[in-house]
Amino acid sequence: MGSLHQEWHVIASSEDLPFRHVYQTRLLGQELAVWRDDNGVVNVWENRCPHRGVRLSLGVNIGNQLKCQYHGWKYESGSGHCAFVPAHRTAKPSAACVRTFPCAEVDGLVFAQLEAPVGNAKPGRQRPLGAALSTNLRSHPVAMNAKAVVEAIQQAAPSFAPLLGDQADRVQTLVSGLSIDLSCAGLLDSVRIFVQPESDSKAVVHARLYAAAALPLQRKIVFTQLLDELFARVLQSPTPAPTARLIASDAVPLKTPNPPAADKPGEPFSCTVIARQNETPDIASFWLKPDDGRLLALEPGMHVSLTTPSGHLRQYSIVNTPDEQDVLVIGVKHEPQSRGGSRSMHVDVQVGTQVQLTLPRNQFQLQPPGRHALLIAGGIGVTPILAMGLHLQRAKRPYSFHYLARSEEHVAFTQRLAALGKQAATYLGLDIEGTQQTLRELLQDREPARHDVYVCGPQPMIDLVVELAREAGFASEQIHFEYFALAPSSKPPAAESGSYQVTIKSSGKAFTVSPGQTLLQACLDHGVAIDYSCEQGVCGACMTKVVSGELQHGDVYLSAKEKDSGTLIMPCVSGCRSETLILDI
Amino acid sequence: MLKENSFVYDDWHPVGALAEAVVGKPCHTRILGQAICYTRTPDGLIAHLADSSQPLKTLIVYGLLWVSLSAQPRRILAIPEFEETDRRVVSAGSIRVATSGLRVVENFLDMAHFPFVHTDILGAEPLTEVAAYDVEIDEQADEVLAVNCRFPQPKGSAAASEPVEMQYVYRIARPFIAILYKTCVIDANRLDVLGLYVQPVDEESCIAHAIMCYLDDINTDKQLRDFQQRIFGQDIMILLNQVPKGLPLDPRHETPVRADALSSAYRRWIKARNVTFGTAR
Amino acid sequence: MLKLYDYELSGNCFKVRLLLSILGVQYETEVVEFHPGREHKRPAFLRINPMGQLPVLQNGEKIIRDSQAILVYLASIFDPSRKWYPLDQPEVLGDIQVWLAFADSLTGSLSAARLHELFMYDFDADACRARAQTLLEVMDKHLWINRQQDFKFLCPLAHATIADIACFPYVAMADEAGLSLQDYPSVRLWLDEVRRIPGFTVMAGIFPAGKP
Repeated sequence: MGSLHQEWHVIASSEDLPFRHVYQTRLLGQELAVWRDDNGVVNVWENRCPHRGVRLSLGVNIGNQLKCQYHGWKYESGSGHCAFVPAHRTAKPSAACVRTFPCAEVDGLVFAQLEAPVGNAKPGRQRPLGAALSTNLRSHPVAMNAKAVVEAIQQAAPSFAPLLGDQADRVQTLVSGLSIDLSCAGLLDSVRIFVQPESDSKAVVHARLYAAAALPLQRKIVFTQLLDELFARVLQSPTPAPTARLIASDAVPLKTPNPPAADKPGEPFSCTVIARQNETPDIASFWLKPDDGRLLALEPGMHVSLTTPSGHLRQYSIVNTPDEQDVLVIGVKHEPQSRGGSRSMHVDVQVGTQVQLTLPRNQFQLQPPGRHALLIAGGIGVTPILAMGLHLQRAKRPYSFHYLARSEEHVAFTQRLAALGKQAATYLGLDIEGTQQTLRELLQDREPARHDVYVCGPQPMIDLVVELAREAGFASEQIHFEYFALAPSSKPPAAESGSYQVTIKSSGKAFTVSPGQTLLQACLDHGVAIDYSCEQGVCGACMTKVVSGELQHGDVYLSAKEKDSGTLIMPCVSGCRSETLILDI
Repeated sequence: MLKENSFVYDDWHPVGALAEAVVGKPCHTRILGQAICYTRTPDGLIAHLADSSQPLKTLIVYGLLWVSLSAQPRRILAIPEFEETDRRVVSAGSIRVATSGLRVVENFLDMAHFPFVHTDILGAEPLTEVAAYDVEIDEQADEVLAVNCRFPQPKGSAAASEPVEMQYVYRIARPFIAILYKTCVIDANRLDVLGLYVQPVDEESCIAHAIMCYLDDINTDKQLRDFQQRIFGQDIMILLNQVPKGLPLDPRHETPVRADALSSAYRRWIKARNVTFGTAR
Repeated sequence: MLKLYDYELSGNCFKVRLLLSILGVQYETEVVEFHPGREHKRPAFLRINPMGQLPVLQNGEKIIRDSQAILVYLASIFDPSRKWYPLDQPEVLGDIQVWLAFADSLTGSLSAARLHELFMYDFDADACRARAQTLLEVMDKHLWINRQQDFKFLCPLAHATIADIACFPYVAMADEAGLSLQDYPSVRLWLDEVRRIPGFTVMAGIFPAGKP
């Protein structure tokens, strides 16, 4: 990929993104749908609905989500995650996620880049000195390569003198990449031009005029006229430039799907520990920075699968704030009865240690906005819950946060907690009865229809919250929890009803699939790479061969005959009735 | 395994509606990227490649003119309803769309878009739920069927005056031909037959020929056409804005949900028959 | 009652339906099958409009042809607010006339390219699109300048006029003519504004402004 992909480019002016509009453009041939949510946040997205490929610029900006025109699917501002599928109103929304691009709005202009480079810096440059006022000029498409546009403007610099309020040929230029500053010695007014490489053969000239005093409209119009005249001359040169026409039918090359890192499991990457901190007597936090400098598409509830120096594969929730994209922050509790994983983390992993990890798909997601989030954490379970709190706080969405810990010194992540302010309530040293009472009070007298409950902590506490929430009238879909932090004392998974043992034929690797966990998730958590996409048993991407096992099919992909044969399974939705399942991979 | 695209090459393709054909007027069009010329004669249809005088095989059936590029085309699909004499055969008019014919067929097989694209006609919010239906493979005919499909509609056909839960059977007869059997408003025991016969012009261009074979005796032909054109006209803007234009067969390129079970089966069926014309590659 | 000789997929017919909807005027339609029937070129319709063009509006004995003329007629008679065609503001009427003529040029370029694309009319579609591009560029610059003065619509007024109605349909359906509006962001913003006018209605190919 050329370095232009890793550079910031202006793709729109702030005024191009008014209330509830979806702006359409291209950057280096990539079609983009650009929109501002009702909180003012700008989104730069691939202009394609991941469901059936319809341009999102045909859809509707409904405030904090973008709604596709074809099937009414709604996608969240920020993450691009699908939040609602009208065809299945009550089911969990699709795992589909719009491809998002880094963007920033600086000084009236919207910047985007196609790939985030190592050590990504924010875009934009310092405002020219002495400019009291600034205003955008009309963006101007030209059927020429961006570099050629820069050269043409530079060569024609004197003709821009009227724009700068000068009559003489004293225009100075300062070129920096695809940006040019035009100014006149002795005058305060200047123009900063950014040339957007729309594609190889087309560019858009964006310009911002800085001035000492208010500008008459006529000055702005002059700029459009100057560009019109300039490019009418240049484009009449002997080698005709390609036509500016962009047919709606322009083929867009089919790219290998490049979903955010969060959606691409099974590909381990290495990280180096850049910081480590003892949060409590038995919890340490670790800052893991990807060695390739990648920016991570993270969201609360997500966990990493990490191979400890002792060789154990363990899952740890991230506690990242929305801003932390270049580093993963996890909390690890030292379990006394540890089989080696947490001890290895505490003993072997220091600043500078390298670890391998993967980012499986988020199984503990925040629901789309609309309901109050009741966040409940116990002990080390605070990690994902705190990440959710920080996210909701930032998004100004309603929530309350309740953290049960043994004592003051067992309260982890105190600095991050402080960011929640008054929303956070901590309960210390509760016994069993006190815990029951506290949780009951938390869940009572809530309007179930207006709340979502999220809980993470020791298994008995999760079970208690689930039970109390149901008693209080919450529907199952409103109670969200994650069991992965299994207390060592809990029953061995194999003994639970509904669990089964999986063996991978080629490697002999064996592991257990717990109730509530999909076969696909168990495989990914154990480093068994399986392609997948829809996670609904429809698309066929995860189809896997089976050696033996009594299969329970939940998909709509396999034909009746294939289901009867017992040799194929869709692990995203299907499982096994017998105690053991052997997969032919 | 079938030779690439032989499944569609060795088949019949519609080139025009019988009702609109003018006897004696040579017409130029394309099938599978090949330029051809055909002429309706008083007693039949003659056709040849644009750059050769070698005659091509032709057929007139189901209200359409058909041509095959193959010297030994397979048997044309069977639609027994056309033999029932109390049915009317009405062409809805042929419309060109600048996208792959496979995308057009897939759109035809889709109920979930009714409330959003055919608002207040074939569907309306909030009745957007697509109930589970069954996809079956007819191995004998080598076709795909979706049965037990139903969808609540404010006005499911030209003959409907009030909301009704329409029942549908979708039949994928060929990669470029799909047939919809739907609730007949005037006879509860029989089904109206709406066929979408897509002429694959080029990989990313096609002409949709729609033929109704209906029991409807309330509407005039013109009213039936007006209704059908309105529906298809609403789909065009969506179809032109699908990227890529070719139908992606790799399951990871687009993300279906359970309502898309038929589309998923369609893509799988096309792939298994080694059809690449009109797919995303 | 008013009677509109109408065809669903015609943008020129849609202009009239749109204004009738906005003004809340009742009317009946008579479908004239443009495709494939070509009824607009048959004797029965030619007796109504010798030009063989849709739409035609009939009000009692009075027959008005030409979509732009029908807009002027309807706004003059059925709009008590006097906003859509401000008869008492001659300078605005001049502006509106410019855009009504512009709308005719859009029919000759964008609509022609669309007829070629959808109904296989034997037009030089590339030449039509090239003309349409020139028109859209003019329109985009004009709308950008208007927005600098807080005017959202084509005329320098706080509200829309029949100028906007006349230019709207074929621009909104530019994709069907094989032309993307990506290069005309001010035009795309204006399309949103028109779709938000109270009483807006849709036709095949034109979606409504979003409901939250």
